[in-house]
Amino acid sequence: MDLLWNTLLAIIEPKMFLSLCAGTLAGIVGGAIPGITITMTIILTLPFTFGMPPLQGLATMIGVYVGGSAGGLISACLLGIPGTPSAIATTFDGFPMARKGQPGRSVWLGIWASCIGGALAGFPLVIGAVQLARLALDFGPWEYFSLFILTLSIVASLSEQSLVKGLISSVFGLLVTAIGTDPLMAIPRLTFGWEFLRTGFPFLPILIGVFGLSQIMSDLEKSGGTTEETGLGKGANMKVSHRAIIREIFAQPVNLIRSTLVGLWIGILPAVGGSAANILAYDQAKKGSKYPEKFGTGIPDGIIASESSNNANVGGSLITMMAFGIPGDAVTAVMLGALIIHGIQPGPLFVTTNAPIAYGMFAVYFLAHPIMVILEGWFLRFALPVVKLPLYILSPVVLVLCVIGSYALNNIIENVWTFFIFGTLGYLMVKTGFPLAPIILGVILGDQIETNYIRAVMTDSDWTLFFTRPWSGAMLVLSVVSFVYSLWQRRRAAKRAGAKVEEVEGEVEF
Amino acid sequence: MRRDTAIGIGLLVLCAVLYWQAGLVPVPPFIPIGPSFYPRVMLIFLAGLAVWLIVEDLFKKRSPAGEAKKAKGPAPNYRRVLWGFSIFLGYVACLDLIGFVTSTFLFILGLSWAVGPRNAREVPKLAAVAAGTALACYLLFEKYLYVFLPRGLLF
Repeated sequence: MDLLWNTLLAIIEPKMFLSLCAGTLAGIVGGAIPGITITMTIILTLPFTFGMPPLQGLATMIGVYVGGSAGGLISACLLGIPGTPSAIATTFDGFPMARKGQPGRSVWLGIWASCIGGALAGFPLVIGAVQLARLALDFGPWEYFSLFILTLSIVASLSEQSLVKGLISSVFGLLVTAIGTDPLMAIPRLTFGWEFLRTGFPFLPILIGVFGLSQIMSDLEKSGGTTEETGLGKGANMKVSHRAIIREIFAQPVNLIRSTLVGLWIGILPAVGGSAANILAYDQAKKGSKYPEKFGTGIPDGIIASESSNNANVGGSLITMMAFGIPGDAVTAVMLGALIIHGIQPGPLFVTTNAPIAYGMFAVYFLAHPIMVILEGWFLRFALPVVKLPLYILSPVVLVLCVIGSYALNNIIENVWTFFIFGTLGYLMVKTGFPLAPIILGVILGDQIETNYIRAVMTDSDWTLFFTRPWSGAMLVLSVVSFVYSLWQRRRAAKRAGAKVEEVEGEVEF
Repeated sequence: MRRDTAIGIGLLVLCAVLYWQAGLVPVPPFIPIGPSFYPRVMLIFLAGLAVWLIVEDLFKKRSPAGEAKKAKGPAPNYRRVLWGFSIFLGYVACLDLIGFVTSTFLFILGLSWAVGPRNAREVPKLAAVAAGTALACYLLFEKYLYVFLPRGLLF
């Protein structure tokens, strides 16, 4: 606790505080602009953090994450277009409330719910990350290998598209890490004698390409490029009584706590992310409500559920990253990359060996929430013109920043080519229904899986240890369960869809 | 040929080529697992999944209701995407040749014109955005953050 307090004081130091504010504001602006996701915003801020000390860089990124998770609600409430996938469910009640003549209430309910939900998730973050890291200290290479397999199987199973495509995406990501020198003997493999491939593909340009370029090209597909009229008028009144808004949120303790827990849990699960958290929390709020029919008409319950869950999701993602070195989602994947660039390996030893940074991250997380409220309130004054920037101006500028982000990693043009190659691959994957999250996780975990497997076999050639060591065996069993459950769930859904199709066909014939 | 079947066949070919390539890696003595072991295991998995994809695609029922639903959405504008990829490819190729500032200016102006409303009155605005972004990036990254952006024949 003392360490947390001391680091909190250190963060108030001007340089650090300014970075946190800048990151939070960048997150809010990026989150508010439809088409710019939090992942994209964090990718764009990445090159700025290269020259900073690790904690300052992380403070900027956590600011982006917290700000971005709340920024999406501005366009969701005022335009009816979610700024980020994390704010999809906010649109359902936020926009109708704004159109009823209460845009201020709608936006501020979202902002305060984000702040409260996010701050509540901070406590499990501090306790959970430390406890899970302690548990992970007992892990040997067998357990790590099984943990990574479990992570991959969960991610592939949870992907919305087909299971086999999720698995192909994961294995393809693992295969990408096999290109270049092997981690044990540094012998080049799968390079076709090409010097460009000798060192393998760096992770960050792959990540920027797969998420950044594919997102921009997918946006360009949609004709128009300008946002629709809001119907709010220029003089929309944003003034509210903050005390009344906070009271309104605390008047729904069950909704608030449940949504926070949903967000936290989804965040802990690798690579699911805020987009699933807000919809699931909204769904749970609707199911648990005494008046479910009112959802979608502009009631506060929906906004509170969606916004508290998407900010709690940030805390959950950070737990997984800090305790196991596994990214909870694409945003924490970028943070993980940034830590590795600074020579810090996140994992179970991270909290103990890099305590000032780990506790600094906790402190930054708590501090980012009130800062987000202040900055988002300030940004609201000129939010509408900014969020309505046309896509044809925005996308080339974003692409240039992505190029700089890839290039600045080690100042070589090959990284930009990697960005282009994987960006094109990412776009093709989106078009052919392959999920993107598993390939990124595969790229992150590939080296770790190989290294831990070799370590395990070199320590003891008995391969049954993977199954007989309790944690390792349990995780492998869970991998199989997650896989079989997903298969069963999809079959059931397909059967139901098939029955519906038959009904439709029957109707036509009849 | 169905799309997923074609992807599956493409993946099988890729697996075969990479499996052969992995076999060319020298095996060091005294190491129980050589450098080609991991890629080969992954390739076997990938090939198995590719077969699964093909089989799933061949036995998949086509839903007429689903097709009708698909047709209802707005048609994607692939011409914009093609412009986007072509101009971006040109930009990446030009970065080292003519330098960051010039190529960035040309890229932003070209892409925003190609995917925008193509109105002659917009050109000064687009040129201002292009020049502003190129110069701001140069000053911020080169002068402040010491990231040495690509230099070419121009600037």
